[in-house]
Amino acid sequence: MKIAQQHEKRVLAGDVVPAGSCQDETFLRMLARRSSRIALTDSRVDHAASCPKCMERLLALRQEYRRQRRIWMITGLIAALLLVCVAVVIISQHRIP
Amino acid sequence: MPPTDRVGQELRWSSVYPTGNAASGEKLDAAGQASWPYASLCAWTYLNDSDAAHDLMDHAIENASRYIARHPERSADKLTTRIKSVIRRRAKQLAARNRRELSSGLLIDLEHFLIAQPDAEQRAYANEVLERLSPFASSVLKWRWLGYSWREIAKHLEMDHTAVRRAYFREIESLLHCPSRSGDLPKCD
Repeated sequence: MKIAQQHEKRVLAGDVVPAGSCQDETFLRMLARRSSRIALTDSRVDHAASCPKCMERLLALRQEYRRQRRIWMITGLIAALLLVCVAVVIISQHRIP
Repeated sequence: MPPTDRVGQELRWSSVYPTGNAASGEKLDAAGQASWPYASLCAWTYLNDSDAAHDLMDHAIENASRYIARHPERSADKLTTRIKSVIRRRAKQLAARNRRELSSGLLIDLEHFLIAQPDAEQRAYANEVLERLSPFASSVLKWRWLGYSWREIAKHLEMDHTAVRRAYFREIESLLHCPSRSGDLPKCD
């Protein structure tokens, strides 16, 4: 993704002139989650990917979602392990004559 | 047909890669002769380039000469098997590299170029390349930066995802090889 990183650097350095006005938080959150409700042709998408301010916010939101997703995954894994442990205990108790 | 020198004489592999032992040299020559048709076959089958047989053979013989120097007791048959194995492995490696270069080799080119240059130059070069992207490639780049997959982008464009990817990389390739192609700057042939 070197080219995409170069694009990011370029936008953050202010080398790109964005078209349109900055987007609200709700839209940026949806975009960070790659919501299917957003059409790729939407001009706001183009703006968010070329405006340094929106891009910075998007990067922060992405990091936030990544962290949230990691927490959810760890929680899910712990819950699954607990369930397996409980199941093993119940099965072993039933087998004892 | 085994490789020949400029005057049409048959080259001996052991003269190119000396083993330091006459008996080992004989074995290497015999194994080289026996493996040559296989090198031609692999060059054609994997790389679709019959001339690549020489490179494959060079690589395999170099490997085998080191091997026979370490184990001079090994038979010519054993050496032939080893040479063929090295040829096949090398041909597969080269074929895989060629396939990767078709889709993403240019990114690697860009990476190498960027690593070798100081920051200011990198930025100027990246700016030059990215500024010259067509609206199509520019949009694809933005969507990719936003994290959309090739399939999602292709679905939106109503195209095949490999076609989108290929078109995108082809454009980047042409810009990397000829950054001053469009606009008022001199044109490349």
